[in-house]
Amino acid sequence: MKGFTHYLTGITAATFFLWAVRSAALEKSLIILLGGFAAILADTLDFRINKYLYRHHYEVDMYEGNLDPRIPLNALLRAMRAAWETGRRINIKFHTIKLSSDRWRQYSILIDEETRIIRVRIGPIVTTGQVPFPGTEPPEERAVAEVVSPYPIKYGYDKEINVDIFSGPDFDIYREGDHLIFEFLPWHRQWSHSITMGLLLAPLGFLIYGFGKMGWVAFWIIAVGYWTHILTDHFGLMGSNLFPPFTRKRVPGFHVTRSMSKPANIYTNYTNAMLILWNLNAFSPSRIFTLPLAEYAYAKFGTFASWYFFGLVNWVALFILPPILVSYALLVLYRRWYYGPPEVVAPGAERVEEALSESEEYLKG
Amino acid sequence: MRCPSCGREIPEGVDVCPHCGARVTKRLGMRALLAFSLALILVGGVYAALSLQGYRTYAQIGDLSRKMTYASVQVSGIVTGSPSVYLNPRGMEGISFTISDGTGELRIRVYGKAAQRLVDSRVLPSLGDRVEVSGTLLWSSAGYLYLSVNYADALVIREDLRHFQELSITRIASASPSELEEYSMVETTGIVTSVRPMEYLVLYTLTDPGSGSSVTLVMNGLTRYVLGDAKLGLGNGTVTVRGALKLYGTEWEVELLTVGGFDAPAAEYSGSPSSDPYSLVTLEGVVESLSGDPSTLPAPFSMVVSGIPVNVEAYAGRPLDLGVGDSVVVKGILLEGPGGRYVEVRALTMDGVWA
Amino acid sequence: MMDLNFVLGTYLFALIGTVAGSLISSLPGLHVYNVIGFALLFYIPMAERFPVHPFMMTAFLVGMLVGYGFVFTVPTVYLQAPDDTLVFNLMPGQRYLTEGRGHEAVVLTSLGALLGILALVVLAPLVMPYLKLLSDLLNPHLHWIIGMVILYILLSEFPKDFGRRKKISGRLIEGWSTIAAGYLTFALSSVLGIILFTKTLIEPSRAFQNLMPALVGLFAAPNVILNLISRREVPRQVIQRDFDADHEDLFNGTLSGVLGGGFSAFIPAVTAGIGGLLAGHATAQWGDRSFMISMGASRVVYYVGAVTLFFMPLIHVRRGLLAQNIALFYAPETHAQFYLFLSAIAFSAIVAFFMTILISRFLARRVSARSYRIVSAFTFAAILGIVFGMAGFVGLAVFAVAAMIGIIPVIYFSRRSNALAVILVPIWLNMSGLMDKVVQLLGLR
Repeated sequence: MKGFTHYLTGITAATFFLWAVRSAALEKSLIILLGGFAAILADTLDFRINKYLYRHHYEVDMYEGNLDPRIPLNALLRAMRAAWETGRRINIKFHTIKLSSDRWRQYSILIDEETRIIRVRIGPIVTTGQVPFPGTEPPEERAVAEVVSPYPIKYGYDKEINVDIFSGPDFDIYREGDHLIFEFLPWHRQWSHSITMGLLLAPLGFLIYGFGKMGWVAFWIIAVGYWTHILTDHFGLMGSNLFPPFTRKRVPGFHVTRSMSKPANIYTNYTNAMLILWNLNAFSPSRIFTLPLAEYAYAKFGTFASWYFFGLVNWVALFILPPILVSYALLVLYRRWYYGPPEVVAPGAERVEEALSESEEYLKG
Repeated sequence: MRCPSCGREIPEGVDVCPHCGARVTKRLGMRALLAFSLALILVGGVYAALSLQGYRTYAQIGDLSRKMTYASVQVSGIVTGSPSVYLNPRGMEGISFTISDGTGELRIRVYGKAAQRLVDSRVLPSLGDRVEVSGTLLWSSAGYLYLSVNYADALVIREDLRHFQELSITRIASASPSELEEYSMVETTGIVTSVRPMEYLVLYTLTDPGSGSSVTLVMNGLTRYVLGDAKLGLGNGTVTVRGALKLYGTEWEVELLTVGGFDAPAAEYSGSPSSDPYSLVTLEGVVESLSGDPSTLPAPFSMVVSGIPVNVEAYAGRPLDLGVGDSVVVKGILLEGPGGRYVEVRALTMDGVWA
Repeated sequence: MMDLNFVLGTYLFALIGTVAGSLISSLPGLHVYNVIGFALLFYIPMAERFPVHPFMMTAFLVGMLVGYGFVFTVPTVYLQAPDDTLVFNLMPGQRYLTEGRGHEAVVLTSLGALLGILALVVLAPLVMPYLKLLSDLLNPHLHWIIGMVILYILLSEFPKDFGRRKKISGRLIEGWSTIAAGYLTFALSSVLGIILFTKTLIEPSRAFQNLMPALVGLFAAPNVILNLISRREVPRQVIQRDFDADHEDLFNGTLSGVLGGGFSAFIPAVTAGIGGLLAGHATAQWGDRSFMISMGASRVVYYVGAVTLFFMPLIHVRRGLLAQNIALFYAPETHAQFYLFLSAIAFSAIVAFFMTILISRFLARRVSARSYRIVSAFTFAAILGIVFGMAGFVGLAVFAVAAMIGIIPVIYFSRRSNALAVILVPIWLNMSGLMDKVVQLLGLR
C-alpha cells in the first residue's frame, strides 16, 4: 500500500479505542496520532535507516562513458559464485546512471529461472518521470549481454528489472541446497515489518502517557497501528517476515491485490475515512447520529457494545460496501470495454513490480 | 512531422514524441475543452432556473418525517405555541414558536440575523396568527423535528387575517371550554389588578371594574424581550388588550399579541408628594442618602430624595450609576406607611428612576 | 425577491470580477486576498453613497477569486513564482517549460480547475445535507486532524540519495541530509509562522493578510532567485492546438484534486497544495499530467469551495479569508441565493478558463524571446514591489527571512511541503491549546 494508506489505516485503528476518541474530543489529546505514527514507521525504518545499514558486497556503477552490459553481468556472476562457494548471503547493488537533473540512463536485468538465462540490456535515456526517449538506446550489439547461469536459480521473478532513477535496486543471493536464491530488496520488509517489532515499540506508549489507563491505551494503539501496516502489506504479494528473530524469511502475502493498485488504495482509504467517522460518532460524548440496527440492538440487549457492533454492521452494509461494489463493477466493465480482457501476468513479475514501485514511491516523494 | 506538444521534428508515424515524451495521437482537442465548458453552462443554467423559481417544496406538517431532515420545505398553519426567545449572554440567539395545520404540530426556529431582523421590523408572530414559513427541516438532539428559518422573509405573518372579536371580560371568564374557539383573536377592556412575572412569561389579571370578574392575560417571552421593560402594569388605568384565546385547564386566558397587544393610556405621573396616597407622582431632587446598590439589578434599593423616602422594587428599571448628591427624577406611586409617606417605584409598570 | 434583473446583475458583477481578477492574477506574488482586502476597504465606506446590493458585491469578489484560481497558473509556470497552493506544480511546470510546453502545462492545470469547478457545482447541493453533520462530528477533532497532516509531512519524506558511499555512516549522512534539510525548513517555517501569528509585525491597517510577505518569500521567491543566479534558458514556447492528456488523466486528476481541495476547504489550516498532495497519495495517483490537473482542481475547489460552504444555508462554516470578509457586510440566507451563487461561479469559471488561455498565449512567446534572467529579474522586482506596497519595510524584512527559509528545500531537494508549517503549525497550536506554552518557550512574550 501507499505510505498514506498505511498511515490512515493506523489512524483508523486508533479510533477504535473508545478512550482515545473521548480524550481527543474532551481533552484535545493527540493520542490517535500514535496509530498513524506506528503504522508508517515500518517503512520509515526501512527506507530511512535499514537501507543504509545493509552491506553491499558487490556494487555495479557505470557512467555514460563506460556503458557496457558486460559490467553488470560480470558483477552478478561474481556475486553468484561467491554465494555458491561461501554459502553466505551476498548482496549486490545496481547503481543508477544519472546524466542530468532530469535525465537518467536506464538498464535492465533479466533473470530467467527456467532457462537460467541472465541478460543485461542497456536501455534508453529516461526522465525522472521514467518517460523514455526512444532512439537513445545504444545499437543492439552493444546493448545486450547474456549468459546461462552455471547454477540452478530460484528467483520467482521472471520479469526484467529496470534500473533507472535515484537509488537502484539490490539483491541478496544465497545458497539453499543445490539452488541459488535471489531475494529482491532484502532489507525491506524484514524485522521492521513484523508482529514482534510492534510489540517492542508499544511500550513507548507508557513513556508518553505513564503507566496508567491512557498508557495502556497508547500501548495498544501503537501495537495495533503497527500491525495494521503488516496486515495491509500482507494483502499484497511480497509478504513480510512476521516473527523475527524466530522466523528468518518473508512469509508470502495473500495475493489479494497489488500495493500500488489505484482501486485498492482508494477503497482502503474510503473505508478508513468512513470507519473513522463512525467511531468518532459512536465514541463521542454526544452522539450526532444513530442507525436503525444499532437502535434495535440497543432496545433488545441494552448494552453499548451491542449498539456499537450492530451499528457498525449497519454502517458497513449501508455506506461502505455498496459504493465500493458499485464503483468496482463499473470499473471492471470499463476496463473490459476499453482495454479488452485482462492480460495474464506472472505472479513473480508482479511481486517485483510491487517492491520496485514501493521503493520508487518513497524515493520520488 | 513536428511534435504537437514541443514543436520539434519527429519521425513519421511514431506514437510518442522522442524529445518530450508527449503522445502524438489521441490528444485532447479544443473540442473537448468546449464540451466541458458547455457542461458547466448547462449546470449553471439549471441552477439559474432553480434560483429564479425559488426552490422549495410545499408540505403538510403531518407528512414530515425524520427522513426529510435537511429538506427545504414550506408549511403554513396557525401559531399554537407561544413565541419565545432564546437568550445567551451576548443577546438574542433566536425565536421559537409552534405552528399547527391540522395534520400536526411543528416547532419553528429562527436564528441569528434573521431573528434580529424580525425583531427590528416589529413583524413578529403571535399566538393565533396564520403564518406561511419556509426553511430547512432539522432533527433536534432532544428528539423532535423542527423547521429552521434561515432568513426573515421566509416567515410571512398574515396580519391581514387577524379579526378581533370584541368580548367582555365577563363573557370570557364565564365561557365554558366549548363555547369559544381556541386561538381566535379577541379584544377586551379592563383594569390590570395584578402582575406576576414568571421566568419567561408575565401573567396579568385583567378585571372588569363593573362586574368584578377577571381573566388572566399572558404576555409571552418574546413580547417581554421586544418591549424591554414591560409597559403594561398596575396604574395604567383602563386598558384595551388584543390577543388570542387559549385554554388553561377549563379556564379561558388571553395571550397578548406580540406587538401591539394593548393600548394602555400613558400613565400620568402628575401628582406631587403632597397629593393623595395612591396617586402617581413625579419627584425631582437630589439623592440625600442611599442604601443598596442601584448599579446591580435586579436587587432592590432605597434612597431619600428631597426628604421623601423612595423604595425601588427589584426589577424596576435599569441599572443606574447613582450616588449621593446626584439629581434624579423618580416616577412612582405615593404610599403611606407607618413611617409616613414614601414613593414606591414598582416593577413592570411605567415607574422608574432617571439620573 | 429573485427576479431576472437581479440574476443578470449578479452575473454582470461576477463577470467584471472575473476579468479584473484574471488581469490582477497575471502579476507574480500578488495574492487575491490582498486585492480583495483593498476592494473592501473602499467598498464599505462607499456603500452608503453608491449602494450596490451586497450580493452583487459578493458576486464581484467571488468572480475575482475564480479568476485568480485559474489565471495564477500563468505566473506559476512561466515565471516560476507560485503561491502556497500551486507550489507543488512547480516541478512538472518547470519540466514542461524547458520542453517548450509551458502553454500546455498552463492549459492542463486550468483544465483541472475547470473540471474542479464542474465537480464543485454539481456536488455542492448533493453533499450539502451531510456537511452540517460532518462539521458537528469533526469540530471537536480538528486539532488532531491537522496534527495528522503535520505528522505525515514529517514522517513521509524519504531520503533521496544515490547510495554510492562506502561506509554506513557516510550513506546515512548522505541520505539524511535531505531529511534534515526538510526538518530544518519545517522548524524555521513554524517559528516564522508563530511569530507572525502572535506578534503583528506589520501595521494592522495594512495587514489584510499578515502572512502574505512570508508566503511570497517561502513559495514565490526561491525559484525566481535561483533562476536569477543560474543560467537557465527557456526554449521557444509552442502554442499547442491540442494537448497530451486522456480521459483517465482527467478523471484521476479531477478525483484527487476534488478530494484534496474539498478536504482543505473544510479543514482549517490545510491549504490546497498539501490537501491535493495528500489526496494524490491516498488515491495512488501517478504521472505529471494527472498531477497538474489535480493541482488545478484542488486549488479552485479549495478557494471557491470555502466560499461555497459559506453560502450553504444552515452550515454556518466560515473558511477562508474571503468568506470572513464577506461576512462583514453580507449574510447569505436562501437556497435561491445559493443556486444563484453556484451558477455565477460556473459562468465565471468558463470566462476565467478562456482568459487563462489568452493570457498564456500572450506570455508564452514573450518569455522565451528574452534571456530568462531578465524575465526573472522583472519578476523579482514585481514581487519586491508588491510586498513593499502591501506591507512596507517590515514586510520586506519578513519576506527576506522567508525567502532564505524557502531556498533550503530547493538546494537540498527536500520537500517543499515542509514550508507549509508556516500556516499549519500556528493554527494547530492554537487549536490544541498549546500556543501559549510554545510562545513562552520561544520567549516571545
